[in-house]
Amino acid sequence: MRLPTDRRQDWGSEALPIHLRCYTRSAGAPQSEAAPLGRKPRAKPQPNDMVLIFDTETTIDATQRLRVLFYQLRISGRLDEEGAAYDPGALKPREIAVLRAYCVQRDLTEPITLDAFREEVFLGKGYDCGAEIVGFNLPFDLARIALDASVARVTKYRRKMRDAFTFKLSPNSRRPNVQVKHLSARASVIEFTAEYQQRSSRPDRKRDDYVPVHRGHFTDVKTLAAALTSRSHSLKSLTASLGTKTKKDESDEHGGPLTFAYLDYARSDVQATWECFTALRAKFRSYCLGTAHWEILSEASLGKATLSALGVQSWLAQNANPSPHLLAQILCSYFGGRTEVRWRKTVKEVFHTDFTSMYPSVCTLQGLWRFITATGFATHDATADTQALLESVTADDLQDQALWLRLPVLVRVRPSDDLLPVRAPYCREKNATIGLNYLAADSSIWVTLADCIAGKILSGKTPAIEEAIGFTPGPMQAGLKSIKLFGRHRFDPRSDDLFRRLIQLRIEEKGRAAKLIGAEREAAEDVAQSLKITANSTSYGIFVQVNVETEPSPVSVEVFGPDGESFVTKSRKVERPGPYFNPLLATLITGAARLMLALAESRAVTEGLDWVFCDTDSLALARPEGMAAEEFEAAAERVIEWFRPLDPYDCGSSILKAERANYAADDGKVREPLFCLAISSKRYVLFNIGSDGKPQIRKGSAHGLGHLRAPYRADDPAPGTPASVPLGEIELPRWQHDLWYRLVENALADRLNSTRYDYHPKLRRPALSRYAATNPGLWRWFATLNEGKPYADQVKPFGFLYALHTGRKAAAKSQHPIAPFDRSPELAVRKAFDRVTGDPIAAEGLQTYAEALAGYHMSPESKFRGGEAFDQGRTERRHVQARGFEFIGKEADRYEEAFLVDAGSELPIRYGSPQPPTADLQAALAAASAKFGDAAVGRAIGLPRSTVAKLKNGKAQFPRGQCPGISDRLRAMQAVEAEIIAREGKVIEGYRDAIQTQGSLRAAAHSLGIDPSNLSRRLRRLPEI
Amino acid sequence: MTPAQHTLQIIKFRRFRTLGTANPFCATCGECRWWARFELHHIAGRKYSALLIRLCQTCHNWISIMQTLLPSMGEGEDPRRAQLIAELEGSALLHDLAAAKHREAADMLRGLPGVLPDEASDDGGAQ
Repeated sequence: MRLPTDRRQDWGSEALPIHLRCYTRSAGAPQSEAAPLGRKPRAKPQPNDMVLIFDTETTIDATQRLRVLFYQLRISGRLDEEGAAYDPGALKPREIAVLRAYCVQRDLTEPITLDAFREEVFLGKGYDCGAEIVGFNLPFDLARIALDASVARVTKYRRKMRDAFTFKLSPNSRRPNVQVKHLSARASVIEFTAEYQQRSSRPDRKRDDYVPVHRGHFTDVKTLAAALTSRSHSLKSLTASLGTKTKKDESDEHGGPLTFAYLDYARSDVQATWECFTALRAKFRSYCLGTAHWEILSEASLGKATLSALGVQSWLAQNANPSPHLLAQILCSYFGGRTEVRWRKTVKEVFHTDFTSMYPSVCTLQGLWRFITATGFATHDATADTQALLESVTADDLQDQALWLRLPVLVRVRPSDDLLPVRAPYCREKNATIGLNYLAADSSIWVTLADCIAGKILSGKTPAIEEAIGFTPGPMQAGLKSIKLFGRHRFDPRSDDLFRRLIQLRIEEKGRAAKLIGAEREAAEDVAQSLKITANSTSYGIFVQVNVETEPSPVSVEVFGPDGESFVTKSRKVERPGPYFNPLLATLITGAARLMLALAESRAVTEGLDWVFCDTDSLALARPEGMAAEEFEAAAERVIEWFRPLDPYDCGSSILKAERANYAADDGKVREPLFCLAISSKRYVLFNIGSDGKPQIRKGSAHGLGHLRAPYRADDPAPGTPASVPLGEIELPRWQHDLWYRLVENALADRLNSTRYDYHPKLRRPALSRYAATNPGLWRWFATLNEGKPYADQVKPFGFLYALHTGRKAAAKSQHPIAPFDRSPELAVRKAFDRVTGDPIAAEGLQTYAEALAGYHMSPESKFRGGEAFDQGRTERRHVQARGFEFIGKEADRYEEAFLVDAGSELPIRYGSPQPPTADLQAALAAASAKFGDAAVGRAIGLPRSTVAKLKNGKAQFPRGQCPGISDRLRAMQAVEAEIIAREGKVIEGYRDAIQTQGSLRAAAHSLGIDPSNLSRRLRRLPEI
Repeated sequence: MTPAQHTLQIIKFRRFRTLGTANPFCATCGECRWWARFELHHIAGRKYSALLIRLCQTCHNWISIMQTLLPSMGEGEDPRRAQLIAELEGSALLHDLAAAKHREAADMLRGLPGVLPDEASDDGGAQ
């Protein structure tokens, strides 16, 4: 199906509010997490040389109540005690007898009750003896062994555990509890609470010398594995990856009566966890960082530990009171990586390229290590130099590495249809996205010099700059230390560049690995991987880390904009910079990465090529119609070769590489035509076409799919798809492979827009997302279910739950369906209920997989023209007229939670804009009311009809913090009228095409996921029921 | 682990918490048995500086006695000079004591031909 091609006309400008990052701080006095004034910090003790490892096995119903657990106590690595514990309320007497007999036969200590385990083992040894406590997915296990759970208290001196759980371990209130705070899917902070007794002697207290609270030492093997391998693991995959002696078994007996075989399985999990722990601990020790392994919660922790080992102090530590306006200017210029689609829903032959270690590379080229090791940075006026540079610079000039050292410059421009990154809510979407578009504005904005150069290279137009600030690193820090990276490679931060050194070492290790075989090769590849993780973790994320805390009630926040303006607003969300926060580095890094992509795009055009998509550090070059295959490959190689002079590692090759997918899957050497189907940003698939004309998927994205539970197993593939697929190589689950396979088939047959998602019977079942109750807010959804029940019978924190969605046939549209965990998703769905009302929800009212996926192939690329649902073909950059600026905060806080469960939390924090209420706003309100009515305007701006009536007549004050939002929504109401008329035309044409293809209105409606009667009404432009 | 061993581990860990380290040792004689009594010694004397060093009780007693025998500062002495002098003298006392301990250890080894240092000490220095 093709849409009319006459849409490539002069679109003209479209007015959009532009979202800019800003700097904020609490309007009140900052509170420190440090000890109260006067207290001297005393060093925290290391754990004893004891390790307690345990693992729980639970029931398979919603409560996931503990049945039995096994534990090991090791002293200096030697097994000192191994035993089991059970919950008497969860086991039958016969099962307890089986457990006792098992322990006798396996020569374990006599099994003890859960109460005894908590007191004698967990607290008695884990706490009192200072043992290190180790487990796999520890938060889940801790919630199972607890006596009770509650929300962690937050005090003036301890805000760290906000939104955490407190698990009670003993009926004795003097004994400590355990607190767990979920940070991400891979990491949690786990600590003991303070014991209720005097820790310090009187003489010590008189000297203000206090013994610190014993917080314990918890190591979650899952967390450590994710940090050291840069991927999520199950215990099974981890044992396989590490090659431990004990492998994770499978068992079908969960929930069944206890048998010796099942108990062997449970016991071996503890041994497997211990072996994985020792392997990971040894791996971490090879980093030679001096940090304790239990402090490593993510790859970012590795980065921080590396910098700490080098004696590098953070910029914030040395600049306690940075200028808020300067920070606002810097943050205004900050945008994330560029991800775009140029050819949408169109199969194109491509040559997929990827930059080597993009962020470390641009760090090296710009000499940013000098900034990291400096005491701070100095600014100077660079307006004249920058203007001269911009006027004269060409793409070829950027092959000179020396020019990149001049890039640490921020530029103030008043955009006049200049090609720049633009963050805006395109097509009235709820959340803003970033696209490289033409921008015009009445006010100035700050951008990086790299973005200006990129815009000039791609558009030919040089932005007129008003001001430029150059940044130079300050004096080198005094306490820098030379270390041996991984215990072998001497590195001096005073004279070496960390990023260059790490990547050079990685290239050497990979080269060495290629010449080895077996275990030696694996060891070398392991080191190369560790070097890559260290380089990546020190080269970007930690510099832009901002932690968002949700206060119980709105607090005053001071917002600073880039033009020196500031205002105070109320917000429940407060941003606190991470320890290595340095927004200058963050914006320079991402700006230079966007410049790299712009250069690649420019070279592609010069060589007569096009491109299909780009994703932060990769670009898929597209073969134009009529170009011979050899010519295409030669042109792509020339694009790659152009970047050879930019190699900062002296390895003699280009930093732009051809991806493996461009070559045959079996040998990786012979070139095989690669094709691409891209839908929208981060949604694309790469495939070959076999001799039978069928697609062979090489690489696909899971974007927009990863939150759904697999509807069917790998051994039950969709009909019409290949029987055997190398899922390990393409790194996709079977059902996602089948989905992309179906989309590619349809695209090749030119019927992509009428894709149906019921090609497998199990796709007609309710769509499930499995989630864990990781914070008190999510756990409260089960408050009604848990009411009146003892903790053991409740749905517990970190227990699994299923998130569902309202279907087309739901009784009410505003339902919030969830279901408690059950091993069988079919049984779980039968217990679905509304988490707000507690009412049961019938399965018929739930959205199926087919319905949930219905719009997948129509996911819009709203940032560009030609990127709407039914559009396909080449997208075009928009011409945006800035309709005011709105300041936002961190863009991806709790993205997972909001996306999965539609928790209503806005993804970026929106602070509004500093414009005070004006008469214009009142006039705009009056005009909108005249056209749409007070009630409709009130609904749109979130105010009562009576308030709207008073505001338009000047009889009430506009609430200050809401003015920008009101202004935006009024403008949106005005614009929507014109857009609807324009869009409806295209949409209706799309519907007519679908009806023609499917043969009937009813079939077309099913394929589009719309009710047939509503489709009929839409065609007749009638309001829907 | 027997109940007695368990109690010992608890006491040991409490000691580590109080000391703020799991590897305590005396800076002059090298005493590192965790049950030894460690104290914090003001190198320059409490009056002049807050610089501290960890010593075993025996060494601390000896150093404190020697410190009292040092000549006192004049009434009008500049405080910064007084501090520097006190720190230097305190540091010298520590070095003297360390030197004496080293001579003791050397003499002991001379008296035990063929014995290695680990075997020569009471418990092998184990914690």
